[in-house]
Amino acid sequence: MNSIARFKIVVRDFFTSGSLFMIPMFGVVLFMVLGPMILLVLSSLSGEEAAILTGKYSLSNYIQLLKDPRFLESFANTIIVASVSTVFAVLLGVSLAWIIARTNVPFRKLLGVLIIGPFFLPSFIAAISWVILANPTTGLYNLILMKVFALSKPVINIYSLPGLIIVFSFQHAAVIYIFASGVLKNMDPALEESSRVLGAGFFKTTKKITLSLLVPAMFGAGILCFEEAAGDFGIAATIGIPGKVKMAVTDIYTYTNYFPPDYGYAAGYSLFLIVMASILLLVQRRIVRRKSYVTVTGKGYRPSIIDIGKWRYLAFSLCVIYVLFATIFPYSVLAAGSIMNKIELDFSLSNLTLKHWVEVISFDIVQSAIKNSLVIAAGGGFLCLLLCIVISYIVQRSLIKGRALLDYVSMLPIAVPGVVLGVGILWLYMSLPVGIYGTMWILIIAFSTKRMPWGVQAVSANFRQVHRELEESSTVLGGSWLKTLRKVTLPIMKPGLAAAYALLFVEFMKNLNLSILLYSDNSVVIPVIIYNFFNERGETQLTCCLAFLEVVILFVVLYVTSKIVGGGIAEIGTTKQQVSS
Amino acid sequence: MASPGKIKKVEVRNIVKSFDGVRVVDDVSFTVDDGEFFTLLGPSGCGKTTILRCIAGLEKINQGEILVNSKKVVSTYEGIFVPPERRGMSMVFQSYAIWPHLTVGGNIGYGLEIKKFPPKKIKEKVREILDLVGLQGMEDRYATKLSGGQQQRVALARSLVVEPDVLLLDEPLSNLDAKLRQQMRFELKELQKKIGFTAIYVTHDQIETMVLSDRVVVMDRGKIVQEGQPHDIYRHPANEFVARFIGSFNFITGVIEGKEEGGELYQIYTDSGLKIYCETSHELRKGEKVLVTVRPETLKLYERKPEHEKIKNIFEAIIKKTIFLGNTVQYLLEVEQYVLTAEDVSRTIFKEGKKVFLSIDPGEVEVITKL
Repeated sequence: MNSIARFKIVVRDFFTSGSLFMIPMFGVVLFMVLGPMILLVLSSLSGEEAAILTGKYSLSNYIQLLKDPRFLESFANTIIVASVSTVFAVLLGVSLAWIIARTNVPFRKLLGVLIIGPFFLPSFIAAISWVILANPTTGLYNLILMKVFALSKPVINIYSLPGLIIVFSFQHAAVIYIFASGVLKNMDPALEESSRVLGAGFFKTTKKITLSLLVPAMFGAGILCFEEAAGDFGIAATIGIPGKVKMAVTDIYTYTNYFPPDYGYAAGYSLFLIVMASILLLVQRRIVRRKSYVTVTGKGYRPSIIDIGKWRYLAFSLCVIYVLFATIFPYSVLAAGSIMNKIELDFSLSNLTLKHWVEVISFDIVQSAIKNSLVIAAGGGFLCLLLCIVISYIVQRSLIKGRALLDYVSMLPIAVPGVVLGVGILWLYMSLPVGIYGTMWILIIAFSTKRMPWGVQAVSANFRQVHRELEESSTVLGGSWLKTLRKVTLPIMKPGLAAAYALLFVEFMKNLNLSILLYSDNSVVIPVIIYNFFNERGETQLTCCLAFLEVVILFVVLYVTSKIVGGGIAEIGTTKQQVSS
Repeated sequence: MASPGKIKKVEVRNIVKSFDGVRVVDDVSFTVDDGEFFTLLGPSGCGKTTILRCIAGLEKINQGEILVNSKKVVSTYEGIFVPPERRGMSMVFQSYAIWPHLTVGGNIGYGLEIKKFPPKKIKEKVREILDLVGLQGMEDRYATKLSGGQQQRVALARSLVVEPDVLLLDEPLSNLDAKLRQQMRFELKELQKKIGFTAIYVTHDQIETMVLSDRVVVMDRGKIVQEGQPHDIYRHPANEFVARFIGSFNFITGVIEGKEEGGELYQIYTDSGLKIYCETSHELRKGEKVLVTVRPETLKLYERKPEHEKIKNIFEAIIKKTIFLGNTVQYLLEVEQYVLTAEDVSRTIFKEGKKVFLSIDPGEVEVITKL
């Protein structure tokens, strides 16, 4: 073959294989993910804001950071809160999962549903409900305790380091519960039965077999919870700022958004967090991949429920306490708060009103926030889904060189806490003359970048289920790659894609970590309004109305999706756990 | 290895087990003697595994009693239930249930550890049993990294090292490929001979049953349909279900004509008027209607009509189908209105459509039910 003919083939392949379309996608993804990070690196080296090729770069900023008492304090707090709450969450979540999956505790089905309640409550809303329930002045728990024990002073103060630990523990116990019950459901009962037959009693078997088999999965899930706790802005700000408990993310937020800013500090701190998160993620991947004993086969075994006799009442009490404090009270206080004149222990009819709802709806800013949130979640979520489909397609199906790199880059945002990514994106688009800064687009881009890993994982899982031969038979019959994708692959993947879309919708709808840094007057969203109403203006009842509305929207989306896709709300909602692990 | 002098007998008395109101085990009784290899044979869903699990204590029976060494381990009449860990048995599961977080040594030593053996003794015993099952030097490997056959041996070793009174085996060979299964069958039998444990074995595989068992019960829909030694069941199936289950396909109905003059053979006239001689210990009266079966491998085929006096039951047949199975050839034969299956080991292969002669030894004509 001569070189001209070969060139012709290369050119033809370029047009027919979709390379024409796919190569620019590489650029888009690389820019979205690496752009903000490069900017953070440059800024941290120069100590300036948005330092593209302007500053003088040196490492002195880092040395200063490590000596800075502000850093040492907030970093220590972050580590303490994240690690202690993770330990509690694992202990609590595993106990609950084991009780529900293995024992004859009364009402186990109902309890199993209620236990995952916190999972559907966005963290900042959970924090708000905890504050309403346990703040040191008007907190309902305090009011009840004072009344019952005739105390003169409130005893519980949520605005504290232990307060942060409790909220994170309760929130993340539900996440651990989902992971652990997944493993327990997929565990061959014969593993436990053979131990019984060999002479180990029920509790000994639980210790030596059941829990030992859970260890690697729980290590992995624990690391995810640790990172989540270290990077969560909603809880850290709502509880930590009033309690003067400095945390990493609130520090970064404060020193970029408030006067006097300290950009070098924020950028350096950000990089520090990225490095820490990356190392932990690598450790997590290794553990999960190497030592996960129970692979999810979807086989599903008949659960072996064991009669634990009198112990079931103790188990029941533990479940009930968790469900009350983590699910029922937080959800109820939001619903009740939205229709109470004053939030106190007065449940008479005269204390009920709809005026907060009327008031909250009448705000222009609230109306536009609802509109913006829906547009961003529905439209932006869809764009993100398309992007993820393209990335997955290239990674899973094409033969383009560098697709492994694309796969890797699309996963990087997992290791970047939301606020940190927000700072990078803020500075990147501030310094680019493209008119994205200050519009809804910056939010869509930011959310898409942050959730790209989940989206790609969810879509890839679907691609892997569509057998290649199904596509090849279309190609053999003369279909182009685009036609095959449109007519064969995507229709088969429809239910999976619908679930992925719901996942993105929900995440876009409830994001505060990024939007708190990136919103502007034309692009407010519901979480930002909720945050400001509560933390800046102290409008508790209006906050409850909006939080309630937000939660209702999330549930409606999950419900509709579960009807389309099949399966329960819980299954759709928790696919994210499978995706992130 | 088994503790001497101890009688390891299992008695199952009238046990009933229901799931969601369906009787999966329906009034089953049997006794397994000391050192016996006892098999529960039946199709999937017949309740055999459930019985095994009831004996182990992994399921609670709804009614009945189970005795091990003449001591009641469960009795619904007296409200006794001994939990599985105190029944002194061990069990090999279909999925092997090898613990992935433990090494081969950890898996095998587990039961000894529970029984508080000193670590040194455990090590010694683990090494001994590994030798016995042919896995020398594998203590420190992770068991899930082993092949199916090796995992199977680990599971077996784990159950044997504790010297159980009774070993329960739930289709332990069904996940192995055909060749390995055959090898393991013999090894299992050898081990039992060597160690002398009492075994209760569950399977749906009739060949496995024949090779391994001292005694068999055949089960159908929760009930025992036949109990006996393997060759009894093979040669004298109690009913059509058992006959079909152990591989007989040829069923013929007919009427007893009476004994042949001066002979011991019964004459049976089939519906289409064929006369079949039958040698049986059943007492049959003239005019009785019976169902008989003939195993495929006992039919003999001839190209020309055999002239030998002693050969009874010679029929003309047309080969409808010839299926080459490697070591044997299976034929579907049309004899009058019947289609019979024959399995032949000779080298000549008859073509489809050919007319042949077949003979049936009267001793192989088994009367299974009076109709």
